[in-house]
Amino acid sequence: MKLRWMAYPYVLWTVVFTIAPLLLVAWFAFTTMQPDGSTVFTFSGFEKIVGGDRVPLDLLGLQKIFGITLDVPLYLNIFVKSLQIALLSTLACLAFGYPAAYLLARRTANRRGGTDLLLLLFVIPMWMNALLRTYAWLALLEPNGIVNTVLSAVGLPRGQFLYNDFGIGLGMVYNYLPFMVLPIYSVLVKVDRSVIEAAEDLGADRRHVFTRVTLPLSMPGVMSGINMVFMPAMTTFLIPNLLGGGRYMLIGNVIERQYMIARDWTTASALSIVLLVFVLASMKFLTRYEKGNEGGGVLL
Amino acid sequence: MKRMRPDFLVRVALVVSVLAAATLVTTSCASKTTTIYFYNWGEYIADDTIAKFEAAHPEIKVSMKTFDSNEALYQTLDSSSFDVIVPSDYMVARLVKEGKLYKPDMSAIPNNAKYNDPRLANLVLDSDPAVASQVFQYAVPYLYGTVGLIYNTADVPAPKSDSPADVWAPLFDAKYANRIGMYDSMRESVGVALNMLGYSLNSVDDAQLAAAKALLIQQKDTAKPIYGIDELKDKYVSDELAAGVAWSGDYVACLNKLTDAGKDTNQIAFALSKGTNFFIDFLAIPKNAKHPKEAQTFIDFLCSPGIALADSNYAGYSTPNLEAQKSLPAVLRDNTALYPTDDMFKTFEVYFSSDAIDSKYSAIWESVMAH
Repeated sequence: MKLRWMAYPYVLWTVVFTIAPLLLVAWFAFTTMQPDGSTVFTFSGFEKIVGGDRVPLDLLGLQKIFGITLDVPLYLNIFVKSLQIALLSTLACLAFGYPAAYLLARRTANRRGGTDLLLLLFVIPMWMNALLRTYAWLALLEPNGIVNTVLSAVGLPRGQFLYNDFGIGLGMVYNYLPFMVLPIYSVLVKVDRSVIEAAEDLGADRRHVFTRVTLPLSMPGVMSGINMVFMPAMTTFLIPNLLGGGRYMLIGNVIERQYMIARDWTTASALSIVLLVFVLASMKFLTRYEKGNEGGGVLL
Repeated sequence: MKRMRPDFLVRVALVVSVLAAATLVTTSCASKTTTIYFYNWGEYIADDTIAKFEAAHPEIKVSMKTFDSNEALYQTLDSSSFDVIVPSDYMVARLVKEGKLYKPDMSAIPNNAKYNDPRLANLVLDSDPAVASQVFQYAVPYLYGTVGLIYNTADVPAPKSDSPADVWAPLFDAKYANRIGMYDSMRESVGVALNMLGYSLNSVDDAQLAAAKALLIQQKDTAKPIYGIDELKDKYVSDELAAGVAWSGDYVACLNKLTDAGKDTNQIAFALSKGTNFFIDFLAIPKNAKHPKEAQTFIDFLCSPGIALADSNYAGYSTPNLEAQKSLPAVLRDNTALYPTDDMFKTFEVYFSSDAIDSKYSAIWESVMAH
């Protein structure tokens, strides 16, 4: 208790760098500058989000496969598209990341050498700036890039890897995979060996041990991983900007453009508020399953 | 107009050198010399021009700062005092309208009348004739440029004529899907659509603007362009992009890149359509300048043929200096896209700026980009 004063710098930090900016965003969202320089209260930002052009909803081939055309506001469509890409990237990260974490944890449990090195290999790319890593993909996948040059050299047809869903998805999975692997690994590695032995003694085969014991025990890690991948995937503008050829608009890009290019701070802040509420709600939903928070994820 | 975005390193280098120069000036010779503050686009003056000026006029030092958009320039004018600025046409008109420019003594800038192309004064620079007629009394042309079609001669046939429909056709052709470049800049993109449809680049007619917007959305769906600014140049050089919209200076930059890479410069060509945009960047003196006399001396120096030639070669934009044009390499001088013929010149339009234009065009461009 005597060391309570040590918390003050963090309180100050939170106030200056988290709470004050959030309040500023909220302030901008509900105000607009008049030509004479005065500031007035407004809902115009939120009206713009639900108003504006109406476009057919672009959801999982709703239009192409089922022939259903549902006209929605432009920004809602972008929101749905961002959500869809973020969800698919998270699922892909889980599909690739869980087995990796499982195998790594098994190696650690069996005290096999080299596991630390393997873990390090997962972490090393994160030591580099995300911008540089993503630029590297650009050089690899460009229409006249390294991959296409190799493909045509061995007589295979060239592919269009960039500026589409594939390119964006690849960029996300590549950038966010470590955030899925590490929390799952850190939970799995703590699973008591004797729990698994007990299950085996009681007659469970390997499949049952996994589905009834290991998987439920690893759920906090999985939830942390989902949290740590889904949130940045939903809000990123760097990846779609670089790998989307400037024509890929996800919600993060729209907000960035509204702030930096259109300079419509009211709409940009209103969009940020909507996104923030959505992100907080989905975090709340996820953290219900993450009581112990053993995965080291974000607390709420 | 966002033409010049210097690389970050260049910007850092500039800031450092300006700081260093400023320190030198204040410490060593503050008593004898006058320092004028020059606010310019990035990479828009030859590296040795300022040194040459200071050698010719040892009593004047020049400290340069750079900006990357007319709007950025406009916003800093009230809070800082510069002696020479480089606003584009529509920004000069706005500054004249708002009474923010110093009226220079043109007899102190004799090189302007002596060498600069008199045709430029025929362009209408503002919707208000009273303002348009005054622009050339307040500002001196520095460099000019055009907006045209840049294309890869191996992939795209040369336009059949200079009618907008022929020139811009490749940009809307699904044949070149994923290989079209568009500027992520509202005036250029909406302007191309308006020009293609035969409307004015300054149209505020809602039906015409709706048609332009529909055309741009259709282009996004079928021709799938890449949108960017600086990153596009490398893509034309590497043949990733077959055609696109480009400022004449970017075309010249691509030619330089081809030369540097040892490639044939005929790989890339540039074509202008009738009625396309023509822009002039002017040298002007703000009303709050501290040293307008020295600023006039500097402007006159920039208008001397040898200096104008060096700056034009460096920046890639066309010089209005008729004497300097004579010394240009034939490949540039004879290129009618860079130095247009009188017939073409008469069709060109300069962008106007007004609140109606700004808000309507930016709404269109945001919807197209969000589409």
